[in-house]
Amino acid sequence: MRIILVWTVWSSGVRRGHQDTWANLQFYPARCTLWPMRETQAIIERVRRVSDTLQQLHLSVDPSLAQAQAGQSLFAAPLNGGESYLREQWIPVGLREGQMVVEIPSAHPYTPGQVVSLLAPLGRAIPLRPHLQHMLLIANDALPTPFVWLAGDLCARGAAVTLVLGGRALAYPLELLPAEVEILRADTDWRWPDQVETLTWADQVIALAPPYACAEVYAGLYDTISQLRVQNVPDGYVFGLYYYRLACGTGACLACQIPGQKYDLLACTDGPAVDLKKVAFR
Amino acid sequence: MIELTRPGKTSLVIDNPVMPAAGTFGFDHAPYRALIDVGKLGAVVTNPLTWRPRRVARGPRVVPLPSGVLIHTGLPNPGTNRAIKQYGARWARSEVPVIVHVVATSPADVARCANALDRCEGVAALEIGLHDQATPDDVAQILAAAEANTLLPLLVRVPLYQAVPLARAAEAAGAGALVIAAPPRGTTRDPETGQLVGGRIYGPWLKAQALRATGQVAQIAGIPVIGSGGIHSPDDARDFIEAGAIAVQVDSVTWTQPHMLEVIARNLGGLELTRAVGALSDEWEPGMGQTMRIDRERARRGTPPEDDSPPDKPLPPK
Repeated sequence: MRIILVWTVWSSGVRRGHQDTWANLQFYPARCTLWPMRETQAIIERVRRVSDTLQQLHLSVDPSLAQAQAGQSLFAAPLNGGESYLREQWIPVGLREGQMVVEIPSAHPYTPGQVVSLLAPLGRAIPLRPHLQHMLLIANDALPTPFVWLAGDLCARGAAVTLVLGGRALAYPLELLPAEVEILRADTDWRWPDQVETLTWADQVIALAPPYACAEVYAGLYDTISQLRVQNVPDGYVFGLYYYRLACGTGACLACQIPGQKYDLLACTDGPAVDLKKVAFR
Repeated sequence: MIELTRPGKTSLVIDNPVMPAAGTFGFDHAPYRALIDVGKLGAVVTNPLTWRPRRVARGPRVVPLPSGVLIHTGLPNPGTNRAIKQYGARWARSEVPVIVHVVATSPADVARCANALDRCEGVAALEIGLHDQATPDDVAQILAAAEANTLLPLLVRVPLYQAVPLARAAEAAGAGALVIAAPPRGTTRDPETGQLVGGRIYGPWLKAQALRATGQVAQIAGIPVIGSGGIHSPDDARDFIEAGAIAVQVDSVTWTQPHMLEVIARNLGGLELTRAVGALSDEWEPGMGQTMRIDRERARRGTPPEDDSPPDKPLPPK
């Protein structure tokens, strides 16, 4: 217990001297226990092709991973060696009957019974504002897989969720999302119906962009929200998800560093959700 | 006990010949504390440090290769003084010696870094990382600047493709040990953005070249040589020792299989359990500790801990 507490304090930002980072936020579901990363193994129980380009893997995982929350991911590598030298970041879309379900491109060949090595959990749960009622999720040219688990959890607790899809995200099979989620389609100029209303209606905004466009997309979104709000954008209001390609996943190599206003952040250990108010875009 | 640097008043002595390479383990061992037993390593080499803070590079930073990876981080670090404030206390508490990697940007900056780190209690040695275009004259100036400002042992990491001439120059300039070698640089196209990206290349294929360079330097050097590059297994590490290295630095396998660093350290440090005679394959695996073996044996026999019988003994000779 003491080890978990110490690790929690260490990883919650105290090590960088910025205790206020997560002070006004809560981790869904109202719990902020962070479990240290462990190297475990999992068995692929089922491979389900959900679209032309996507497959879902049902994994029997170590019981410790039952604590994982929306936003956290797995750093996986096949035990018998895969096509890639580095580990792949697998994003869970939910926990079903004791199995963790991840969604990955179907280009990667996996078979039931295959054993994979996992470094997990990777990153933090997505922080949610207290008393959240309206959530706006934006997927700009990136598949909204990271939103599936979060949207399901939010709908289950009665929150209203709107998801804006644009670019490559429009190709995502909508039947994989909870039926309660309202879907809006953005045009090529990144406008969607009732854009101002949805941005002002939301209690919290979480955006997703491809790794190479994160800085540009998130800077634009933050500028738009700053202009809409007469007062300053509150802490923990607008988040960007950073899914950079990772080398180590532990915060050692610093290849996923995100320049910050006061301190730099790491996508692998501080992310994937980063408060855009803390990011230095220029 | 292994004397890692040339004998002298401030020689660095380590218990195990295995350590992570610079840039793979973080500024302290916090990133890997939950994954491996850091105490089993011989030392920890920090991420590269410069005098002034450096921010991360723009654009793609990690590009997969067919059998490895290209990394271009821009050597982000908080600068020497801030790093000492941030990590100094943890370096002092470290269970293994901490070797701080200093990027050889210029003799003046190296002198400032050496001066500041010399006063930091937890630093056991400095590793000077030479850049790829360094000349023997540069090496002499940089080492002279460092030696004038610190009594700490100085390791010098030389680029792979200039290993022999720069190793000679470093030894002549007073280096305490040589690290052979820094990962080479390469350029490849990032499949996501289509951009050409330059950076350091890591992977198992590097071992053959690094091993050759290590052997060449070990033949001519009168100071300890540390082998590094492409080590992915205990056998790889033993090859470097056989080639003349006194110790090894393990790089990218720490990212892909963190436990392998500890397995290599246990193997080369004499901590690995020898496979018991008659043990089945599921009762023993490389890197398995005595505690785990006994636990498995208990589970297999169904005996409680207090009634545990001693481990298997070798069969008597016939």
